[in-house]
Parts: sequence; C-alpha cells; structure tokens
Amino acid sequence: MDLVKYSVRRFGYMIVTLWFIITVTFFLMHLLPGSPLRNEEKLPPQIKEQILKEYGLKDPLHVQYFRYMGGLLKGDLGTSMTFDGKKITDMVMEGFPASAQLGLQAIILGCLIGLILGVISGLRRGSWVDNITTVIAVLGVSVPSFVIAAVLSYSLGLKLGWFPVALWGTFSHTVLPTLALTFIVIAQIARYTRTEMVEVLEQDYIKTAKAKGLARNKILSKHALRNALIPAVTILGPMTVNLMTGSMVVELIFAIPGMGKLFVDCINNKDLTLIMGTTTFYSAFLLFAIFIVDILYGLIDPRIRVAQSGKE
Amino acid sequence: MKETMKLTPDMFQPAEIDDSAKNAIARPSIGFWKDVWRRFYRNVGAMVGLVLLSIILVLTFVGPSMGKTDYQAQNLSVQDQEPTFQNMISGDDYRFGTDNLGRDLWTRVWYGTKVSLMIALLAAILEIVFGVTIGVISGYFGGMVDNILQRVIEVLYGIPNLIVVILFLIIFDPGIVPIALALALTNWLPTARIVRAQVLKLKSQEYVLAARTLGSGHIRTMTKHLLPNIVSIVIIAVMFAIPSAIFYEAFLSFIGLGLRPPEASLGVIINDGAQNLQIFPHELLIPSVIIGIMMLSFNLIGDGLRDALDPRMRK
Repeated sequence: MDLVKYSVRRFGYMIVTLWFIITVTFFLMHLLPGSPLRNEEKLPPQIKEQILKEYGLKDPLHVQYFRYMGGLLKGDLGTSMTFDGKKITDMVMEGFPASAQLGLQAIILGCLIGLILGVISGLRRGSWVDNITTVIAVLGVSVPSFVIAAVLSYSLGLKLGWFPVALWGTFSHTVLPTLALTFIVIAQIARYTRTEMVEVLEQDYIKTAKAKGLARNKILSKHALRNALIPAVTILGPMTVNLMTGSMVVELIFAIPGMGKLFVDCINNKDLTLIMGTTTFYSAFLLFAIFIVDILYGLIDPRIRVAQSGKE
Repeated sequence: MKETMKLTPDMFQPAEIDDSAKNAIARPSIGFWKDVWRRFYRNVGAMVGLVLLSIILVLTFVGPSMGKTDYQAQNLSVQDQEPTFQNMISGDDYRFGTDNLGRDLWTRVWYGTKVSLMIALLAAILEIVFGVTIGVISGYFGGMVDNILQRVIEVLYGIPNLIVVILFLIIFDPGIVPIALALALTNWLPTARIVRAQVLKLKSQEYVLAARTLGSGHIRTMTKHLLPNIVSIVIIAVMFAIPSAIFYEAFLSFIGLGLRPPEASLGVIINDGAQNLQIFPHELLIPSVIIGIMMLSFNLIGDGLRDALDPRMRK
C-alpha cells in the first residue's frame, strides 16, 4: 500500500515537472526574437507565407501550444525545420539506439568495475587497491569526459590502432566511446560503495553476526554487502544525467550518429522545433529513468517510502 | 621492612593560594577558525591542492605577460608549433607552442584559465546568494512558505540541469555573465536544500529564542544569528560549486555554446585543440591538464575544508 502511494506521488511529480519543462521550452522557443526561417531576406514573401502556414506558425500562440501538446500525447514531436519536413520522432528514434547502447554498456561495465573496487577498498582500507580506487575516484571527478575521450582516441585509437576512432557499426566501434563514458561511472560507484562499505562494517549487526560465530565470508555476503549496495542504487539516477552530458561530447568526438550528436547539431543549427523535440524527449527519458530508480529504491529500502509517502 | 615516618605538623605548610595563578590560561585558546586551519593544515591532499591552485592563480596573473604575444594575436608563419622542454624552461620561444592560427598557447592558456575561473567564481557566488536566501527563508519561516518553496524546488529539481543551461544560452548570447547566470540558475537548488535543513535545526536553539525575545526582527535574526552559524556549510558548497562550474563552462564551449572568439576560456581552447587532436595533440593536452589540475585542486581543498570545518562529516 505504501509503495503504491509512494509511486503515485513520484509519478505525479514527474508529470508536473515534464509539463513544466515542455511548456517553458515551448514558450521560450516561440518568444525568441527573429524569425524561425533562415535566409529570410532571400525568400519571396509568398513563399515565406506558404512556409509559415505549412508549419502552422501563423496561428495564435495558444493554438500552436495546444496543437503541440496534443501531438506530444500521440508521440509526435513535430517536424524539423532544417531537415526538410523530417519527422523529429523518426530522427530521435534513429539516434536513440546508438546512445542507449553506449550508455548501457558504460553503466554495466562501470558498475562491475566500480563495485569490485569499492568493496575491496572498503574491506581493506589503506591497501594498494584502496589507494588506486581513491586515485581513480579523484581523477574521475576532476578530468572532464571530453578530455578522457580525446586522450583515448589519440592513444588507443590513433597511435596504437587497436580500435576505430570514429563512426558506428560494429562492436569495436563502441569500445572507445564506452571506455570514455564508463570512467566517471567507475569513479562514482567505487567511491560510493567504499563509503557505504566502511559505514556498514561498523554497524552493530555486523558485530552481532561476528559474535554468534558466523564465518567471515558469510558476514560479508549476507550482512555487509547487501546493506552496502542499497544506497548505490540511488546514484544510478544522477548517473544517467551524467551519462547524458558525457554522451554529447563523446558522440561528437567519435562521430557517432546518436542522440547527443543530434542535440548538439540542432543547437548549432538553431533548429527550434528540433531543439524542442529533443529537449522534450531527453527530459521525458531522464525523468522516467529517475522515476524508475526512485521506485526501485523504495522497493529495496522500506524506510524511504515510509518517510516520503507520509506527511513529512 | 616497613619504615614508619613520624608526621609532625611542622612538616606541612599551607599551600599558597593565588587566585590570579588559578585563572591564568596555560595555553592560548584556540578559536574556531584557528582550529579549522590546524585540521586543514594537517590534510596532505588539501595542502597539495592549495599549493597547486596558488601556482595556477599566480600564473593566471603573471603568465599572460610572460608570453610572446597577447592572447588573440595571430602569427600565421608559426602555426601549430609543438612545445619543447627547452622552450618551456627558457621561454625563448613559445613555451606551450602555438595553435592552428599561430597564437601563443602559453598566453592563451593562462588568459583562458583566468576567464574560466572568473566564470566559475561568479557562478558560485550567484548560486550561493540564491541558495542561501531561499534556504534561510524557507527554513526560518516554515509552514506555508516552506511548503510552497519546497514543492517548487521539488519540481525544479526534476529538470535536468543541462537542459536549463542550454536553453538559457540559446536565448541569451553566451558571455561571461550569461554563462555564470545559467550555471547559478541550475545549481542553487542543492544549496538551498542543505541550508534549509541546517536552519531548521538551528532555529529551535535557545539563542534564536533569546534574540527573538530581546526584540530582534526576522531580518536581523536571520542575518545576525542564523547566517554566521551556517557559514561553514556555505563555504563547503562554494568549494564544490567552483569545479563543477569550471567543468560546465568547458563542456558548453565544447558543444558550441561557449564564449565567442576572440574571447578565450579553457573550454574554448580545448575545443580548438580537439579539432587538431590527430596531428597536434599538445593543443588539446596542455589546456586539458590545466583544467584537470584546477578541478582536482578545488576538489581536494573542498574535501579538506569539509573535514576541517565539520569533523563529524569525515568519512
């Protein structure tokens, strides 16, 4: 019952936030000074009129707004302005798989390595694994992803020639971008797991387990690890956001036809409808990801949903 | 073999009672900030960060005048020169080499560092002003005000930072102030939350009640009694806001929403360098190393300050 209440509440927030973002984006894009058309002065007035009518830009703003919102409900993100008449939904769907694959690979690889490093360094504080983990964690938050991407593409790609440095297609194309993206995941997960591990190991129930004579391995797997991993779930939400930031530059550097590249391109082209469409898609995706993480967290740790579904 | 000793009254003397000696303080007392500094000083990482950052800071002021030309002068006869170790020491030629327009990278990098730092500082200050104001108001007044502010914050929290920053910069032309403002607009939320939580904790303390009883108004209570007590949290927030702002500035330049040439920031220089990465890696590597060192130092100092200001938060 609690979980249902909690989920509904979270879902409500998600919808309100999404609506807020879409509305603000819509009005901002339409209030921007200047005409949405490029090369305006070269166009004869009749053609200009025709184009504006075609895109429905002659209607009053609120009519356009409701038409846009109506389209969104049907999954229609509108039509691009620079790529003649191309459906934005189609463009997003073309770019999304590549980005999603990269993101997933980076998360899976990063979580694996990060968890292993974090657990070991939490168990053996001051060991060489711990020191390496600390260095990775500090570098992970200090070196921007585009620098890592550039260095990887130069060293492993260009100098050593192990992996292709650009484009998309086979699995080997995904190696370098995944590595570039996964660095921050490793850093965050490792640091977080380590802190949690250290904290959990000091808890009384670990002492109790020891006192009743459980084997060390059992204490670690049954009591320590499980409790240490729960909070690690929470950073999966912010991590998705981080990965999105990372994927934009990484896709740019490795020339991958994904969502990030689409977004950056439309910003540079000032393609207003495409900006609106991709922003909406990105926000919806991110909010949904965070929603799922929240629910997962509430599912795993009952204290959270009790605390939040009540009146605070 | 027990030896007994005779105790006679004349073996005893009254102890000298000297009130002034009793009240004397053996060691000078250590104030809060002195204690903080002592803990900070012992933190190796933080000191390394402080030294690195000081070197960079000095170079941002001295560096540009040590170069061959100013940061935007082009010399097309010396394009893409690679730096040599000898030049870096002697300064006979371009210390960091030149970029694809023959501009002196040494001057550009230090000038760019200064611009990046300015953006980051401005962003951090604005962020703190927004965050602390909203946080204190929300925590202090509580009730309806708090409820409304918290609901608004909760909705705003859901909006991905990146989208706000990008939309903001599409609308306003990128410059130092708009970029800083855009970064501050998104980052004040966590600060407001932390400050609110702290104020909630503090406002039920007796000294607040005492101040209110003595007739201090809301504004005075907030600024004179609550603010000084959350200052350490604010300092920590600033220290972590700066590196994140440096990163975002570079990121924005990288995707084409940064400062416009001839203006240069580290992000702009990195972006220029990335175009030439395959042939002249130094144009990317040098500014990247600087940005890495800078973010590293701020993070280290931030960690050190957090531990020093609030030892309970040490992990």
